[in-house]
Amino acid sequence: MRQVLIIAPTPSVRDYLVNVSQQAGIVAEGIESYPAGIAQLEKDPPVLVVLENPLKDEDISKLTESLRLHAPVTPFIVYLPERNGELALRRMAQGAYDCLVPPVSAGDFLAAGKRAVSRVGRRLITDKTLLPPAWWRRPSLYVYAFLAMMAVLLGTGLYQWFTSTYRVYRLSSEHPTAVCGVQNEVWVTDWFQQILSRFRVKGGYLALEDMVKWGDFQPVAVAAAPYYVYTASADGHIRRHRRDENLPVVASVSSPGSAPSGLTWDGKTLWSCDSDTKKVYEHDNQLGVKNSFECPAQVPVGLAWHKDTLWIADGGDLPVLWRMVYKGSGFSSDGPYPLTIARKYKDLKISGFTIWKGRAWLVNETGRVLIQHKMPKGKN
Amino acid sequence: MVEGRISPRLSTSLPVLLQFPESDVPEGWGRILDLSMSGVRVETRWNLKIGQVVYITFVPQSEMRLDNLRARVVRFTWEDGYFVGGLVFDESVDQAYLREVLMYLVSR
Repeated sequence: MRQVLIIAPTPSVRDYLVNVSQQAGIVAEGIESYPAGIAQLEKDPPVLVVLENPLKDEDISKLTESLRLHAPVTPFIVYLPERNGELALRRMAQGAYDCLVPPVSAGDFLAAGKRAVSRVGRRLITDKTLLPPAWWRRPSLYVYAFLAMMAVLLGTGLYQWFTSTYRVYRLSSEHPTAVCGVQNEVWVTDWFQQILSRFRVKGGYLALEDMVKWGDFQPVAVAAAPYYVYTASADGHIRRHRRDENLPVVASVSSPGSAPSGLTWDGKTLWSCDSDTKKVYEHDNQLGVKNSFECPAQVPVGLAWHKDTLWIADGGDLPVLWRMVYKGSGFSSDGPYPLTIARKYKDLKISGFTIWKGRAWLVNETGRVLIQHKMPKGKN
Repeated sequence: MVEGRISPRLSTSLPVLLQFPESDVPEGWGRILDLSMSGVRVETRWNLKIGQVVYITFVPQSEMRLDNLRARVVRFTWEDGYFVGGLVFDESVDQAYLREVLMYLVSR
C-alpha cells in the first residue's frame, strides 16, 4: 500500500522522487498532474504528499483545500528545482511542512517525511534508518570521543597495572629479612622486632592480618609447608614450627652454615642457603643436610622454587637473581638476571626473596618496602 | 559559559529563513519551534555549528515581517535528520518590535 503520493508534472522529477522514495524504503505513487493528484488523494488519502513546486499559487491553494477537507492529517512537502530561501519560506507559509532541493538523498527524503507526519501524530513505515548528513557534527560524537579517550586511558592504566615490571608496597618493618607466600597471604619477618607479619595484598596496599612475636630468636628466613612453618635465625638455627596460632617451635637444629639466609619448601623437601658458605642445602625430614650445592650468588639471601627451577636472590653489590636447574647429577646455573627496579632504587639490597603467584617478592635490607617484581625469563 | 534563555517562551511552528554568512551554504530554512525575547529554538535540515552567526527572517503575519535578525547558535542536537538548535539574538535586534510580535502571537 503506498504511503506517499508524489504529484509532479515533470516526468524526470516524478521518476526521480519515486526512485528516492524507494531508496528510503517508502512505497510511493507518482501522479503526473495536480488535478489528478488531488483526485487521488481524495479517493485514497496518503500519509504524505510530495509536490513538485507548482507554477501557480492557486494549485497550492487547491491542494491545501483538498487536504483540509479529505485528508486533514496528511502533510505535504514541496520539491523546489533549486535552493531559493524566499520561495521556500513562501511555500512553507502556504502550508508545506518543508521544502526539498536537489540533490535529494534518501536520508533527506526520509527525514523530512518522517518529521512532517510525526507532527500530526502519524508515522512513515520504513526499514531504513537515518544517518546524519554531516556525521562529524553530531554532538554525541564528542561525548563518544571523550568516553573513548577515557576508556583508552583506563585501559592503558589497567594494562600498566597488570603488566608493570614491579610494584612497591609500603611496610612498617624497618628490618625485614624474609618473605614467603602462603596461599592468599604474604608473610614477612623482621629480625630486629623478632616478629612475623601476615598480610593480604589488596590492590596497591598490604592489609595486616596477624602478627607472631618470638622472644628468643631473630628470624632471618621463613618457609611454609602444609603442617609446619620453618624459620632460620641469626644465631645459626633452623626451626620447625607447628602451624598453630603462635607458631610454637617443635624442633630446632643447627644450620649447616653460620649464616643461614634463605629457606624454601619444594612440596616435599626443605631447602636452605647460607650467605657465609655460599651454598644451597637440601634437607631431610630431620632437618639434617641431605645434599649441598655450590651457589653462584655473591651473597645468597633467599631462594625459591619455580617451575622446576631454583632461583637464588643475590644480596651482594648488585641486586640480581640466579637460576639453578637440576640436571641429574647436579645443578647447572645461569645468570645473573638483573632487576629493573634497581634502576630506580639504586641502594637496593635484597634481604629476603620468594616467588609467589608467578612473581618475585623481595624485601629490602634498608627496610620499609616489599617489592613485587616480574620474573625474568630464563635462558633455556 | 552558554546561558539559557531567561525570558518566557512561546511555542509556535513558524517557517523561518536562515542565512549563514560564514558558511559554504548561504541559506536554508526551517521552523521556529519556540520564540522569546532573547532567542529562538529552530528545527532545520541545514547544518548548525556552535557559535555560528545566523540571520533569521520570519513572517508572523502577512503585514508583519522580521528580517535578518542576527542571532548566534548556542546549542543544538540532532534528531532524526534535523538539527534542533537554540539561537540567541544579538543586541542589535529591535527588542520593541520583537515584543510586539510576541504580543501578537500570544493574542492569536
